[in-house]
Amino acid sequence: MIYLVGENVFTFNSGTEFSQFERLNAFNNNDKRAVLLLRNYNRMLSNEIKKHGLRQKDVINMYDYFQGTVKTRRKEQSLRLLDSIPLTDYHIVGVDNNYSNIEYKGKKIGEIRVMPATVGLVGSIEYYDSLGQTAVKEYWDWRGFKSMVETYHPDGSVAMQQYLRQDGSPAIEVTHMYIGDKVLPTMWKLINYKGRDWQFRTEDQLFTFFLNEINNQEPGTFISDRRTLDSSVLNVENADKKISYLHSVPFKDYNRPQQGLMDVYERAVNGENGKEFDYVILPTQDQADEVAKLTTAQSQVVSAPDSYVKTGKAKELSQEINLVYVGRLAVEKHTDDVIKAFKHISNKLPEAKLKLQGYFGSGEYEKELKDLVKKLDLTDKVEFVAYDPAKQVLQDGTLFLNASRSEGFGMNMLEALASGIPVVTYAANYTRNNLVKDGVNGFNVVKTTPVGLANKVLELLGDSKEYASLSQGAIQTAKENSEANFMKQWNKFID
Amino acid sequence: MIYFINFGMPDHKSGIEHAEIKRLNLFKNHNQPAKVIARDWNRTLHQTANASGVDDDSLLGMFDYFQDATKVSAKNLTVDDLDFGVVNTNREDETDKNRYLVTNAANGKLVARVNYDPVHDRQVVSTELFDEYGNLYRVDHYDSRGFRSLVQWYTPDNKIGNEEWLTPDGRTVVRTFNKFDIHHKLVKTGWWLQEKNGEIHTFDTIDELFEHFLNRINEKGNNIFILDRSLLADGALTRLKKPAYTVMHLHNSQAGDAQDPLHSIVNNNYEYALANLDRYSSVVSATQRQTNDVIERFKPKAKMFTIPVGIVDNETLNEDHVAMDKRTFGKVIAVARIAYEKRLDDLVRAVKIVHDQVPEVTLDLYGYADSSNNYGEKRKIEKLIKELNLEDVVTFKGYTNDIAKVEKDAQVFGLTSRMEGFNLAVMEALSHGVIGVTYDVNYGPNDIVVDGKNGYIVDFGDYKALAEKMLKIFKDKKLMQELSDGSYETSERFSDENVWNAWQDLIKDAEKTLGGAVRK
Repeated sequence: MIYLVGENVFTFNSGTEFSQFERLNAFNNNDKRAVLLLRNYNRMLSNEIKKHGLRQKDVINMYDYFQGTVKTRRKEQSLRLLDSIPLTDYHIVGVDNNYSNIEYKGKKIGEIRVMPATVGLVGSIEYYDSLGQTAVKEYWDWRGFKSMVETYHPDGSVAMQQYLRQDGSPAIEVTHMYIGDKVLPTMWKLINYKGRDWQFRTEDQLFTFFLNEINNQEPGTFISDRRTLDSSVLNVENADKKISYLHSVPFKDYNRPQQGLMDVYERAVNGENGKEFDYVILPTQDQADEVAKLTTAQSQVVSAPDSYVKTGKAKELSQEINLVYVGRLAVEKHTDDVIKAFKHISNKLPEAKLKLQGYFGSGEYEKELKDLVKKLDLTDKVEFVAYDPAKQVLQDGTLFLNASRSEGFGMNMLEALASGIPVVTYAANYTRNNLVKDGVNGFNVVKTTPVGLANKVLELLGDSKEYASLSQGAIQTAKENSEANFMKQWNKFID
Repeated sequence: MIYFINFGMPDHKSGIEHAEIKRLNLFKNHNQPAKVIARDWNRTLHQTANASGVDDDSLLGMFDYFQDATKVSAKNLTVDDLDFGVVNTNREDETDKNRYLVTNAANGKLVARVNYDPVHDRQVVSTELFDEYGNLYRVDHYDSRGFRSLVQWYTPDNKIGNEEWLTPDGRTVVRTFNKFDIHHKLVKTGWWLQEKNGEIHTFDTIDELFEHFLNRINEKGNNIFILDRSLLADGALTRLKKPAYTVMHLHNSQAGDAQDPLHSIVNNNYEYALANLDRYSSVVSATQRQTNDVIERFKPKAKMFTIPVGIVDNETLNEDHVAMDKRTFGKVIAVARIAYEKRLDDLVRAVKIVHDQVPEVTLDLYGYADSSNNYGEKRKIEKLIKELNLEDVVTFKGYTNDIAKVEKDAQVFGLTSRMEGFNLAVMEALSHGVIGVTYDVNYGPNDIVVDGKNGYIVDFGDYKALAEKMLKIFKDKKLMQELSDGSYETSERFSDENVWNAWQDLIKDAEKTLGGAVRK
């Protein structure tokens, strides 16, 4: 069994989670049984994983595991059909689509929140005390059962959380008290698990215990994808193998790897307390070579792909020019440089359009980008498209523009190449000479300025022969990054 | 079912608990099911109730009911049975504090203080639990039957925050909250209940919770509720949702000044009940005199029953009589708390007068001294004894467990109280042939003592008259024996059979009112 170890699954995930999902699917499609082990409590999880095409049996969440609800199927629980609300005594008064009140003799004694994205299913119930303060709050799981109960200190901060089994008995109890002068969780207690209690100071200690329980049931290979989880994975006893996978460039200075690793990667590369990973895997061999120079551990530093793609068709240059970027719209991606580059392109080619698809790194940056579009008078040419796995802007894209300076792999660029779209990118470390090859499937622009980027784009858009050749090259790159190739690389470490 | 409503059944009992136990035994003898309802939670509820002869079948704790713990076979839970969720612990016994200190063997940190009961095989009373940062985050209280019952979560600044009651298998079913009011005072701000059928109810006060409980146990109707502690449910019983026969039981004077029953301000404990008297099915008082006074003042439409709260058991009634000349001549006793209401200084003054003419007279005082005002009442009487040179005549005997033996050797029982609800002590003394000499005090003594038949009743506060009657008794051996015979004879009024008959009248009225049998 192969265990992919993660924190959570959301509607909006980072590349790390996407990479995990892809790997999970590839492993399972190729007779390498794999499951995703998740640390964080998420009562919406069963709905989220469905959105990403994962099956319930692909995922084991730690809380679900101890609550005994890993396999629980969904049943729709209407807020008006709850056993817990005695309609002989109370009125349920609908206020709007989001919540209803529980009233007794005209007084609001509680509030029922509707489960997000449903009509009238229960999401949570708060009970008030006689002073109208929330005294108890019950959280429902997407699958229609009461999953967690929370109580509060006199100042309104969380006092205690109880994660419940289906029979209502507590499985995990979290206490919130002082650490220094702040009220924070100070204890996770596993209650009546296999007949006894277990007390942990941190959630990660509980997670380590969980991973060991999983491994005891069925020993396997653990792959840690998040640096916050390295410690828990390192502490699994008797695992077949332990692997850390580094999605991002781990160096303090990506231009000067020899200056060392960022602190957060120390554990992933060098282990801790004498415990080390069997393999440290990076997406590209050149990164692996640099990391190997820095490691003090016995671990093998190797490379294996972050992901893989399905190959599309090559394109010809057409009248309609759609420049695209797909990925997080964030400061470190220098999305503003893409827009500035587009301004130069637009000056020469007024019919060209730019589509930016992804979610914003911050509200602040969103405003900055939108202001920039206005300032540059590009409002009718630049389109921000919400993240949506079902609606990809790549389909009718002409060129993919990237302005980030460093990419561990460049998954978004590979997706573009798979659609036959050549990439014009700043010459970013670990993309250059790996994914994007000059004159083969796109160009790495060494002069990392918007004008530099724009000039290369304009050059290509004026040469339909060159464009066709790059598009062919893009398809070829995609073929090299096929699922079969992906498995071939990974099999070296998981077999 | 017939329910008696009370707070609990503690070791230190007042007359109300004694009356309930006697009633329970009476009902049991006549195969009439009944239960004492204990509203309040107490970890030793079953221990103390069982010790008083109230078995688990005759006891219904409200918290037990919701905790699904009415019937739990007791086991002796000790520190060895506890699981702190820590792999290896060390334990230190602090015998002087009746507790163990439990530390984590891995890091030496305090995990818990385990408080135990040194009298009951070191059973666990409570555990004070600490997190790894040294915060006391919770105190768990264990039922004497050996399960975790009440959990008190602490606030970061070390006050009791939320409290939870659990089922023996560990599910939270009752919660109460301690939060700040607008004056930033930490107060109880509400109750939360999850019932067996899954329903969740919230309540502002424990009174509301108790009312819900009463309705729950009366869900099918046709029960009898006897309200022995008026303030617990004087409102709730007037609002029951299903038919029930509700009995307002007076255990004390309905008037603040019992000697002025028709005009003095109503006894605070009964104010609400008396203002709503006709919303009960019936009212019980222990004496005819009190029944008459209630009728005259309140003119209730509710039925009135006079039922003694004391019962003289058949064994006592059938005992061989002890003749007066076989007893210590001149032995006067009082069985009462040494307290202001009992006015024992008057009795001492009366005995002084008697002593001047009958030097053999002695007075033995049986009962706890009231601790209020630093035992002020006892000190007052001691001073008086000294003033009257009665040091060899009056003796404080304290509390005795074998009062019958004392009573079989005494001749006169003196009673000088300011107010009484019934006075079981004088009834018991008379059942052993002691002659009663009492002030005309409401209610009880002036009914239990029948003037000229088993003793004498003198004017309220007239200790000289009391002395005269004692002298009369001590100077006339024939009269003395006649009165003692009268004491034995009049005790029949309180026989098991007579009291049961009185209750049967009430139960029959209940069946008539409810239009069917009382639920078993």
